Amino acid sequence: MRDLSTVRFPGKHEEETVIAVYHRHWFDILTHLFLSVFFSVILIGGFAVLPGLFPGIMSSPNAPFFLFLENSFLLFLWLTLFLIWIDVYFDVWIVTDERIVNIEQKDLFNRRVSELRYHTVQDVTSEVQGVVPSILGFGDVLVQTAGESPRFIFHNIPDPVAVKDQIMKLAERRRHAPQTNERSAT
Amino acid sequence: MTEIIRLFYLILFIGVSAVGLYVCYHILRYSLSRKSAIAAVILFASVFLLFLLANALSFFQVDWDGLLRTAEGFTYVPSQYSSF
Repeated sequence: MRDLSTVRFPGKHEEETVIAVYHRHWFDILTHLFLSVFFSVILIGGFAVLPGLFPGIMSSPNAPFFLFLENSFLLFLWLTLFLIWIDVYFDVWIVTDERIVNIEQKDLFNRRVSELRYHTVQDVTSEVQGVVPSILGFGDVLVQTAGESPRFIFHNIPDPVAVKDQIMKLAERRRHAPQTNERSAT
Repeated sequence: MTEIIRLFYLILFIGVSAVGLYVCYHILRYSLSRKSAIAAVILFASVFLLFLLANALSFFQVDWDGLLRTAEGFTYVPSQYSSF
């Protein structure tokens, strides 16, 4: 179980309590990483199998050049793997007792942070589309708000129905709470 | 020619190192948990440094002049075939 008290994010208030943190489902992350993983397996398989099939490769005068090429591919694959992982895993939705914060990593140099207060929530919908999402239980949660950005979307998160219920409960609680409790309104 | 190849490699090496450093910075700066950030950076940096070092070593083991001479042997030179 993750210790949520250690979670830190830009703009976190001192008394704010993090209730849940959602990342994309592992399968969604894996689909983004698929090509890098596929080429890594081929390359590493090539390292293991080719010298056995063609013993002349390693004794050829150009062997260091081939090793250099293979190593360069591995280096770029490792970098690409982490760049994609950063792009996908760093998309995060943080549910606190005051608000929902969405940190969206568009690419390495493009990051967007948006937040949603519970009193603006009008409607919450969960959506699971496709065979794999239905089997593995992941999908989107769409939060309809009265604010400037009308929709707040949690993309491909695990168990979207439970998340929808949780947001509805928090929004209800906030709606029925006395106005003085709205400490984050300023 | 070897000097040009070395110069290109130096530029590439600096570029790749800079991207690697930026990945480390990004993980440390934006990760939600300090513990997992450190673990991810250790994993990334150790493998990355290993590959980078192996890459530099294998680059300097290549006989670029010999390789270029071999490549020239395969190059199509029109003057060789212009007699007929």
